[in-house]
Amino acid sequence: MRTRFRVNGKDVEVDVEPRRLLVSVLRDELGLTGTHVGCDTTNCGACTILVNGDAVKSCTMLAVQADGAEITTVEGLAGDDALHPVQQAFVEKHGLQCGFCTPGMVVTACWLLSKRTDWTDPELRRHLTGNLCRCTGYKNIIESVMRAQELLNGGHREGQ
Amino acid sequence: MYPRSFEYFSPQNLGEALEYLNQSAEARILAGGQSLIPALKLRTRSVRALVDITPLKELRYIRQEGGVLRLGALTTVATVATDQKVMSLVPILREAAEQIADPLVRNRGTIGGNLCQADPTNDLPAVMLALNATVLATSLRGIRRMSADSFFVGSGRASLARDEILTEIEVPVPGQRTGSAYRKVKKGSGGFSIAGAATCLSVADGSTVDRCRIGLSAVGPTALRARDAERTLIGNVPTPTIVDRAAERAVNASQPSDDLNASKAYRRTVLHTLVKDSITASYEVALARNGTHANEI
Amino acid sequence: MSGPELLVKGGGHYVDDITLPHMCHMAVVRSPHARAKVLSVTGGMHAHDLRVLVGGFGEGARSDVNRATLHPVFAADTVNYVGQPVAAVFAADGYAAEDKLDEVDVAYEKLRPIMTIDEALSGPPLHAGTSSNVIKQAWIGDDFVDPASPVVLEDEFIVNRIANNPLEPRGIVADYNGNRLTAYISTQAVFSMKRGLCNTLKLPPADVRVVQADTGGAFGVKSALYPEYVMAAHAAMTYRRPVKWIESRSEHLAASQPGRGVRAKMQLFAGTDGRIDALRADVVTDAGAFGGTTGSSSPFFIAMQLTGPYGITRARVRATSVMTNKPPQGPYRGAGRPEAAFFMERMMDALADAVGKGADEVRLTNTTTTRFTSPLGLEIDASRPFFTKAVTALRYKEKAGRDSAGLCFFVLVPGVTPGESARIRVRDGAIAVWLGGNQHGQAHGAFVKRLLSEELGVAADRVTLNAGDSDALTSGVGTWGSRSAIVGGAAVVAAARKVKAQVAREHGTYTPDALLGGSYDAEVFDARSGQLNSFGANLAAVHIDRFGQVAVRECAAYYDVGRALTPGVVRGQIVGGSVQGIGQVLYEAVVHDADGNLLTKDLFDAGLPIAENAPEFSITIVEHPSPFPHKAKGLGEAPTIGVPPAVVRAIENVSGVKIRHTPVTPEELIEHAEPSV
Repeated sequence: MRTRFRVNGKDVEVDVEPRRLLVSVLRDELGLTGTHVGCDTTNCGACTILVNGDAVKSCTMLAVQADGAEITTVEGLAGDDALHPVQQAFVEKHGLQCGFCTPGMVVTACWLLSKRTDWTDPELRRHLTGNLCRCTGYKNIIESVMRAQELLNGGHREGQ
Repeated sequence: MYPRSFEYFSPQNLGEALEYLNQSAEARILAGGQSLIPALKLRTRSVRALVDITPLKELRYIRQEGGVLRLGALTTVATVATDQKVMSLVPILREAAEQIADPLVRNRGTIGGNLCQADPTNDLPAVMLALNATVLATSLRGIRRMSADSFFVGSGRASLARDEILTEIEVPVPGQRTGSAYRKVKKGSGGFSIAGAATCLSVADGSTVDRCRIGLSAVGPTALRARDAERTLIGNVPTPTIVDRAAERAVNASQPSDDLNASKAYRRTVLHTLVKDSITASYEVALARNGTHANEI
Repeated sequence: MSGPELLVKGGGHYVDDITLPHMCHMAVVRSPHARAKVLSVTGGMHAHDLRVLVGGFGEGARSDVNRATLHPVFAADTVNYVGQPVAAVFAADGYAAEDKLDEVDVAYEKLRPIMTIDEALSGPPLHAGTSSNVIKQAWIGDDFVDPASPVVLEDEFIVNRIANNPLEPRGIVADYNGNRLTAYISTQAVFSMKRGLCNTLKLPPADVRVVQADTGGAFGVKSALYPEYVMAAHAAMTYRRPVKWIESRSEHLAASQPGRGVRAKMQLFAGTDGRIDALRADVVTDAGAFGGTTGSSSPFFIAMQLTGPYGITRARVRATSVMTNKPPQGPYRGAGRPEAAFFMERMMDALADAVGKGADEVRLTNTTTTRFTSPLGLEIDASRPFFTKAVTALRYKEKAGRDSAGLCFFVLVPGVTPGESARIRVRDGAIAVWLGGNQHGQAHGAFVKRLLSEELGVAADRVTLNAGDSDALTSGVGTWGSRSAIVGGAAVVAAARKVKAQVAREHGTYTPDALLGGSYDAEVFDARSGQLNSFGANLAAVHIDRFGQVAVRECAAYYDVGRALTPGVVRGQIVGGSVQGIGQVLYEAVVHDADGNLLTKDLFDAGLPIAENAPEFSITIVEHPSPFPHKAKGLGEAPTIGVPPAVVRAIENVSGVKIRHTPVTPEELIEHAEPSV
């Protein structure tokens, strides 16, 4: 079945079985392997992407449901060589260890920060229930998002 | 991990969707997919054909018309959790919506889907019972209205014919002297509910409860009405003794299971506290809106 | 492993990101029964095609067990746990492969499964060719006559099984070009994988290469050689196509090697002043259905550590590893160390209560003032100075009074033996490094850069740690057991000194410029044996709500890391490991029903902690240099050892409920009676 959508600013068309999950099409047909599969019960959030501006779990969407949608994956948050402030903050604040949950965390953080830039620590934790991490214990992830919030509110990058 | 094959139809409008359902005995509706797709992935469910109604914008709306709030069935849970009208007119709906799953699932999951899944642990069915909501099911045969009381018939079973689509939920806007609250307990590390209690009540003449509906979630094969508990409150001032008695009766109306997550006894104990909390909180809100406070009585 | 700048952009290269031409996907048919005879298998690749056993490769694994207990790659005559692999199918993609599972027909005759330690000890043997379900049993420590101590305490504890649950599931891509097998694996130990593949498939070492893909967490579960890896390799060689196998989370929960699952009876003899005269213990590990994995060594390793940082001069432990119809037990961060500390620290708390002393006092009373080797073989430095300072630094007395805090003293025994290998190659001004153990989130690159910039006098950004590759080194061990900074670091420093010697021989003296201007290549295997143990202490405070749900309010650590080569990474390890420790106490277990069916089937059931479960942390790192050139000590597992006993004691203090197992459920803590009508 033919499906057309925009991914990271580029128009794509794929012809896939209706049962193919959006995450599979992003990873396999489109080679965007930054979005990960960590579970099969919609718990872990490693597959989080933006669809029409909203963060969703791409493992729980059929690719054919993305017809006409505007999709952003972790690869498309910033230009080729640049880091989005959220990505920058995760590096700065050691918000990752093994990196597997990281794309999902970063995308969810971008989405949250697109809604508000006055999140508190407890609010962020409540809004990250859809993104699991096994390595970091979450502390540095929260600090990374808070740091990104600071950067987006006009704070300075390290070194400036 | 991955679904079995199925056919897929994306209707342009509600009429096309209904036509397709009418023609194909084995077609099922796909809305937010946050329950259906996981089941298809684990292959605990299989479908021959899916009718994807997510693009049907005509089923996404929140409208106030007179004394009711009309919610299109495809309104996402996220929208319900953040909508201003919901927040001000039917706050219990927002209270429940923002506790469902996680923010990402809420971005796709629809309130119609939540009700049709009729999963015993879902939150919205109990809240709809407390709100005395009406659901509208549309088919080629017309529109059928059902009270929430008659909609949830069994575990995972809603009273929807095979060729019907749930299109709207009609919620009476609680009046001036009302209060409502939804309280639930989830397992500590996230996930399923242990128990939940939704109360909507109104207060007459400053202190007596004159109307009350209580819905219970996750403590039976479906969401349950706690009618004995309601009757305990109606006509009375909800003193601690009365509230406790109402909670006891709600617990006795419940049918919680014994499973990996909790024993029946624990669920009953938790439910007792949640019912008390939701009644007390509702009453305080009702009094505050009425211009009085609990300790003035 | 790809660095953070790449990983935040989704630029990692995990095994599921690998695509090779003509690659096919493997799916595995698994037993739905905990115990059954396999009457017939029709379809797919199965025992008829490959009849080999796995066991003995990976952390704690041992091959000196009865061959009859080893895990077959494909089940032959019997199956012994729900999820055990029976057959494999192959298709062009994962969807079609899963469809093909339906085409395999397996006929079973169900047998009564053995699901508990007691049933295993008393019941008939699971495996033909054995006389019981005991894999190994041994006594550790000399026997003694029970002292006439005024205080004798006995109790029994259980640390339940936990699924490792790294966010990235297990996976392999196996590729055979007609001469060589190359396996890309999400693994902690390319050399264990290589040895295992050579051994099981009877391949000469020169014909096998194992490359570590970026590894999305492991915590022990990716150190073993799994049947699925052997299947994929065999299939690649049979079909002459690359074969990819990526497990689903459901498979991980059912059929990887969960950790913990240990029961211990403890008996302490002590004086009224709290000084312990003697310890007896009986430790039994539920090793699951097969021997040869960590389950076979677990109880002996636990036994060795039982006396902790205390100078207990008489101790004897009976240690037993038994088989049940569950997945084979493997290492999970700590791998026996947390269990040992849990058992001893629970008794310490009971002792404190029995003699009416503070939890800190009774512990300090038993610490040592000189170096001490316990009757069970544990070697420790004088422990009193460290722990005296720990109690003060943690503000234990204040927090015990105000917050009902719990305390834990522990020894970390890193897996030093047999050492580690490292190779340094300098070419065109760039310094490439390979280590025998493979990181999976611990940022080994950071300590490698630091050590080499110090040792070689070069800028850290000239140094790159490459992914594990069995072609790049002659041999290697693995990343587990808190060993990497110690032995990996020692190997890197040794390799650096060898390279410096090469430079000096060529130039008369060593200078960084001479190094960077030339081409050098040095590999060392830095052999190490013996123990290099370190101390740590944890404090925890909890809040329990009306529903019995526990929130950890504070988690404080006081650890000796020797030298913090990478302070940010050290803190990250401590926080991450602490949340895992909290998970063990409050949420996580692998639960089977009486028929052997897995009840904890998804990540929520498994109890993986979420962001809201993490407490406030306070971390104090002390640095008493180790004798190694880099001065570092072990770290990775310290929080999983020290946090659970402290949290459990805090729960006891607040609730008044005696805790003998993990996880603790809200139900056990809530005061409840049936509401009367």
